[in-house]
Amino acid sequence: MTVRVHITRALSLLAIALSLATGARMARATDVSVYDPKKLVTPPIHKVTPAQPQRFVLPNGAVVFLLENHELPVVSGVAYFKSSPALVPDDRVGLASLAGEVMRSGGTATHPGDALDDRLAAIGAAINSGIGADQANGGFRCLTENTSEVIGTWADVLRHPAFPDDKIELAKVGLRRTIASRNDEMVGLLTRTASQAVYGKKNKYAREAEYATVEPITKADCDKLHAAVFVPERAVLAIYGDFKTADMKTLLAAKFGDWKASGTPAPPAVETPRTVTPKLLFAPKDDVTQSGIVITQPGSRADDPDYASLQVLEQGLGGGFQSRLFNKIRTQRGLAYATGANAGSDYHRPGVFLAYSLTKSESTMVALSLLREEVAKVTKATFTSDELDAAKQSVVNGFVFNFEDPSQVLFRSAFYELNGYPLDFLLKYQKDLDAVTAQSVLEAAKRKITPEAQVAIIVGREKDFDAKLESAGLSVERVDITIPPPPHQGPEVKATPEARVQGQQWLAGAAKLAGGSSAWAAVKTVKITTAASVSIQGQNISFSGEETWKLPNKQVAVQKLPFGEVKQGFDGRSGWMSGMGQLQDNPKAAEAVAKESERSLWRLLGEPAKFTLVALDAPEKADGKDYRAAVVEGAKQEDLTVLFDEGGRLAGVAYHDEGSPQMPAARVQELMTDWRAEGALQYPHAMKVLRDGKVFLDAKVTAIVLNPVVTDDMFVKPAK
Amino acid sequence: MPTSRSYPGLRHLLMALTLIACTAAFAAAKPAPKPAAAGTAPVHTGLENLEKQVQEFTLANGLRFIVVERHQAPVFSFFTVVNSGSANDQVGTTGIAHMMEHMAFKGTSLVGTKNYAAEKPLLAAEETAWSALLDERRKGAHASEARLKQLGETFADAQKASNQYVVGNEYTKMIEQAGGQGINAFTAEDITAYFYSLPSNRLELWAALHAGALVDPVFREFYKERDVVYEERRMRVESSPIGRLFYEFITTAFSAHPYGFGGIGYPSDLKSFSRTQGEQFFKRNYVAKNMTIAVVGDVDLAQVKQLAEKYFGAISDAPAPPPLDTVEPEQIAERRVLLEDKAQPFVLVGWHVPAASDPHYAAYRAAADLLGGGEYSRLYKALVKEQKVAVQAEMGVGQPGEKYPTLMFAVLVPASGQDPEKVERAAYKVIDEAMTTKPFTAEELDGYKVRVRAAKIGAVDGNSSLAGELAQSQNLYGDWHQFFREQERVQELAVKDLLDVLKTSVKKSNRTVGMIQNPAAAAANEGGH
Repeated sequence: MTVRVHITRALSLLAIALSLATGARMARATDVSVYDPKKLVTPPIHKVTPAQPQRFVLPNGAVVFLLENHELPVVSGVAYFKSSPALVPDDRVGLASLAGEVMRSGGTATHPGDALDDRLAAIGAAINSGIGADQANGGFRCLTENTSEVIGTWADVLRHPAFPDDKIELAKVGLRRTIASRNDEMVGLLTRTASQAVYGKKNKYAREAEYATVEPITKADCDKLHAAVFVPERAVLAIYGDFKTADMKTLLAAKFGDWKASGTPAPPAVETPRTVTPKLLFAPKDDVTQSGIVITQPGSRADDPDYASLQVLEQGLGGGFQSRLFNKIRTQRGLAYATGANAGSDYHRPGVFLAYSLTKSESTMVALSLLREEVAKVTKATFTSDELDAAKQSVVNGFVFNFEDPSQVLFRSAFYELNGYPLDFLLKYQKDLDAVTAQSVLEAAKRKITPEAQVAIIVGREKDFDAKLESAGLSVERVDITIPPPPHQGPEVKATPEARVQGQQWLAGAAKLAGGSSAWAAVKTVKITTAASVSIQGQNISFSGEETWKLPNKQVAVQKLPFGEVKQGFDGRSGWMSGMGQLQDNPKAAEAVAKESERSLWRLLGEPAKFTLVALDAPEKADGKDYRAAVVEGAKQEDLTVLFDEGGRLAGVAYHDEGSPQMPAARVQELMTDWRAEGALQYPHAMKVLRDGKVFLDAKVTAIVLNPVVTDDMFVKPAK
Repeated sequence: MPTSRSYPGLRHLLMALTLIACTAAFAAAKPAPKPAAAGTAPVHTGLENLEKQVQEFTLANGLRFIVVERHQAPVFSFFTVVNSGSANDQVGTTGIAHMMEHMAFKGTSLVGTKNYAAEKPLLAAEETAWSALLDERRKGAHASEARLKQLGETFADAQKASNQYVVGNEYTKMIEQAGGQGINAFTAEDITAYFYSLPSNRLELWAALHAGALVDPVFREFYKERDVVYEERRMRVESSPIGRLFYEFITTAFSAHPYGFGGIGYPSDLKSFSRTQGEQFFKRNYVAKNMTIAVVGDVDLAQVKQLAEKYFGAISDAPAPPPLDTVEPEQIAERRVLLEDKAQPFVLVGWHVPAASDPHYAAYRAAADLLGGGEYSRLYKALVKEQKVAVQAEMGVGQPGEKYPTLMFAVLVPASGQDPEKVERAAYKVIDEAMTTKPFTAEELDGYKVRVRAAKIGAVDGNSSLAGELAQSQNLYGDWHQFFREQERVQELAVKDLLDVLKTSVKKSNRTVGMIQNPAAAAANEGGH
C-alpha cells in the first residue's frame, strides 16, 4: 500500500516536474482562452511628431523640400515635373517612355551613358529617369560620401540629356520587344483592355505604342519633349537623408541656380470621358486555364468630396481579407486566388474604377455575375455597421503608416506641391474619414458607381466557359488584340550616283522598247478588258473585268464575279463602290488609286524622267526567275521596285502591300509579259500577281482601247 | 521614391518566375558565414550603430526572438520564419507546405467561429466524408459512379454543415481593423514566412493572434482553400508563359532533390491531400525550435519578452525536423527544355552550385553580379548594348533555394526576332571569355564590393525589411550577425576566387536550359526577304 502510495506520489511529482519542464504542452491542453484577442484592451498610441521638411523656392521657380535623417549613411532625392500625354503626338506614341529611359541611358555630353553606368556601379549609386502620362521623375540614391558628385550628375541628366542615336535605337529594341509580348501575360492584356474601355482607344491616356509609332521617333522628338517637361518653374525637388541642410542648399544653388526659367506654357490637360456605354468586351486568349474578369467605369479625383467615403467603400467591397469580394468569391466559393476592387481615385485625373477576379475558365461567367452582383449591392444598400466598422477602422487605424518612415512626409509634400494639392491634404482627409458613415458611403457609391453603365471585360479561353458570353445580358463586343505588324523594312538601298545613273538608263531603255515615252505620254484615257482568275484561300475564282481611266487618277472599274457585279470608282476626290444592291463610300480609294497610278505603266513609261530609280546590286527573284531590280526613290508606296528582264524590257513592278482585314500584308510582284503592239506603243497582254512569292492572280487582256471618249460623270458616285 | 528604369531588374523578373512569392527570400540571399580573417581591418559599413541595437532572447521551448527598437513612428513590423518550405513536401502531398501559409489565416478555436464546440465534430465529419470519397476515387476504373456521386454529395453537405459556424476571415479582419498593413506570407522552397505591420499599441493583439494561430490553429474551410491554391497554380504556372517555362525548367534541373517538385504542388495532389495530412505537416514543422521571429519598431524589449513568454511559450518544444538527406546527384549531361509557345522567346540557364553554407558561395554571387548584375555587367554590355540581340541579360545565384545545393542562373530575354538559341550562344561566349581571355579585373570586383555595402544599407531601410533580413539570416546561418558580416567576407574576395568557381560549375554537362520558342516568330525569321 505505502509503496504504492509512494509510487503514485512519485509519479505525480514527476508529472508536475514534467509539466513545469514542458509547460507549453500543458498550457495547450488546458487553456487556450488566454489567446482570446477580443478580451484585450488597446492602450493609447504613442504620440510621435514627425519631422517636417524644410521648403524653399529657388529664384527660377523650382520648389525644394529638404529633410535630414542621419540613421543611415545614404542620401536620396527626386525631382518631379508636370507632364501631359498631349505632349506626345499620335504618330509618336512610345516617345514618353523612350525619352524617359534615354535621358539616363544616353547620359549627357559630360557624362555619356556608358561611362555613367560604369561610374555609378563603381560607387554603388543609382540615377533614374522616367516620363509618365501626367508626371515625369528623375531620382538618385547614393552613399553619403558621393553626395556632391551624384547630385551634380543628377542635375546634368535632368538638364542636359544628350539623347544619342545609339541609345534611342537601344530603347527602340526594348520597346519592340514590349510590343511583341504585350499579349503574352494575362494581367497586362486585361489592364490594357480596361484602360481602353474606359478612356476610349483613341484617348491620349489609352494610346498604345505600336511599331509604326516607335520607328519614326528621333532625337529631335526627345529634345522637344524634354524641353517642354523638364523646366525649373514646374520642378519640385525633394532630398532626404544624411546631409546638412545648409550644405545642401549651397550645393543645389550651384547645380540648379543657373537653370533659367523657360517661360513655356504648362502642359495642357487632357479630358477623359465621364461615362461609358455598357457592354461586354471579350479578348480571346487560348493559352490559359484561367480567365481574367474586370468590370470598370470612369472614377474620380482624390480631391473629390466623396474621396474619404470611397476609400472606405473600396476597403469594404474589395480592399482586403475582410472585404465582400474576398469573402464571397475567394473564401466561400474557392473561385479565385486574386479578387478585389479599386475605387478609382487618382490624384492627376479621374481614375478608373475596377472590380476584378481571376478564375478558372469553367467558372468565368458565374464569377462575372458574382462580381456584378456585389458591385451593384453597394449602390443599393448600406454596409452593415459591422462591415462599416471593419472597413473604416482599417483605414483609420492604418493612418499612422503614412508616417512610418520620415521620408514619406517629404516625398508626399513634394508630390502634393507638384499636383496642386494643399500640403495638409492628408490631415484634411483624416478629418473627412472620421465623418464617414454607412450612409455617406452609400451616397458616394450612388454618385460614383453606376452598375447600369459599366463595361465588363473577359480575357480567356471561350470554349471552356461555363456559359455563353451573351448570357451576361450585355451586348458582346469582341476585341481584336492582333498586334499591327511593323512597317515593312525593305532591302538596304545603296543610293550611289552610279546606281542612280544605272536605274535611269534601265528605265529609259525599257520605255524605248515599249514604243517610246512620247507614245505612252500621248495616252490620256484608256479602257482595258481582262479575263482573270484569282486564288483566295485555296479556291480559284474566275472573273472578267473592265476598267476605264482618265489619267492620271480618275478611275471606274467593273468586275463580274460569280456572285454578282461589283463596281468601284474614284472621281479624283472621293471613292465609292456598289454591288449586290449596296452603294457606299470608299474612303480608302484615294490612297489606293494614288498608289496604283504611281506604279502604272502610263507614268513609268510615259514620264520616265520624273522618277529616280536606284539600281540594286542583287537581282529580285519572282516566279522562279531573276530580274534586274531598281527601287523608286521617294515613292509613296513602300519599296516600289521596277523589274527588268534580260533583254532590258520592263518586266513588272513590286511593292510592299500593308494588307487589309481580309488580306495579310505581303510583298506583291506584278509580272507582265506577252507585249503586243497597240497603236504606237507595245502593251503587255498577260499579267501575273504574286503575294509573298505565291501566285495570287492571273490575267489576260482581252481588249484595249486607247484614248476612248470619257465623261467626268462616269467616275462620280451614282445617285442610287 | 526615384522611379525605376524601363526594364524591371532581376529581382522584379524573378518575382514573375518564382512560383510562390519568394521575393523576400531572394532579397535576403546571403553568402556563406566565414569568419573574417584575423588581422583584417574592420570594414566601415555605416551599420555599426544599427548592429548594436539588435537584441535577442530565446524562450524555454527554443523559439528565438530578435528585437530592434526603433521609435521614430508608433508602429512595428514582425517577420516570422518557419524553417520548412516547399522542399519539405513529399510526393503525394506536394503543395502542402504552401497550404499551411493559407491556413495560418483561418483562425483558432476562439477566432473565426460562432461556436467551436459545435463546429469541431462537424469538421471531423467533413474529414470522414472526404476520406471515404478519396478511397472510392482511388479505385480508379473500378470505382462506382453512383457511389462517387453519393460520396461527393455527402462531402459537400459535410462542408456546408461545418461552414455554418464559420465567421469568414474574422482572424484577418481583426488584424486589418487594428490598422494592419501588408498582411501577407510566402512559401519558398526553404522557408515559410509570415509578416505584417501594426500600430505599436497593438503589440499584445499581435501576440495573441499570431501565437494563437501557432498554438491553437483550426484548419477550417480547408477544402475551399485548396481550390484557392489551385487557382493560384492556374495564375502563376498554367496561364503565364514565363510561369510555364520556369516550372518546366526547375522540374528538369532537379532530378532527385525536392527543389524539383516545383513548389506549388502537382494538380493531382492539390485535389487529393486532406486536412488531416495538413495537420500532420503542421505538427511536425511548426515547432518552436524550427522558427525565428523578428520584431522591429516602436517596441520595448522587456514588453516583447513578457508577451513572448505569455503567448509563444506554449508552442511545442518538440525537436525540429531534421534537414533533408537527399542530395541532388551530380549532373552528367546537359538538359534542355524547349517550350513551344505563342509567347515571345525567353531563355533560362541554370548551373548547379553549392548551398549558401559553402565557403565558395560568396564568390559565385560576385561572379554572377559581374556577369549579369546590371547595366555595368559583362552580359548586359555585350548582348544588350553592343549586339542588341537581347533586351535583358542577367544572372544570379540562389534559385530556387539556398539551404541546399542550388543554381546559378541566367535570364536572357531575346530582342524581337532574335533566335533564342543564338542569344544563348552569345551569352556562353561572354562567360567563356571571362574565364579565359578576358578575366575580371580588380576594378570590376572593387565595384562589386561597394555595391554590396550600398545594398546592405538599402536592405535595412524600413522596419519590415530589417525584420525580414535579420530573421532570415538567423534562420539560414543560425546567427543574425551574419547579415552584417557579409561585407567583411566580400572584401576578402580575389578575382581568382571568382574564376575558380566559374571553372568548377560553368560546364555544358552541368547546365539545364529552358527556352520558349515561338514557331511563328521563328518561321518569320527564316522567311524574311
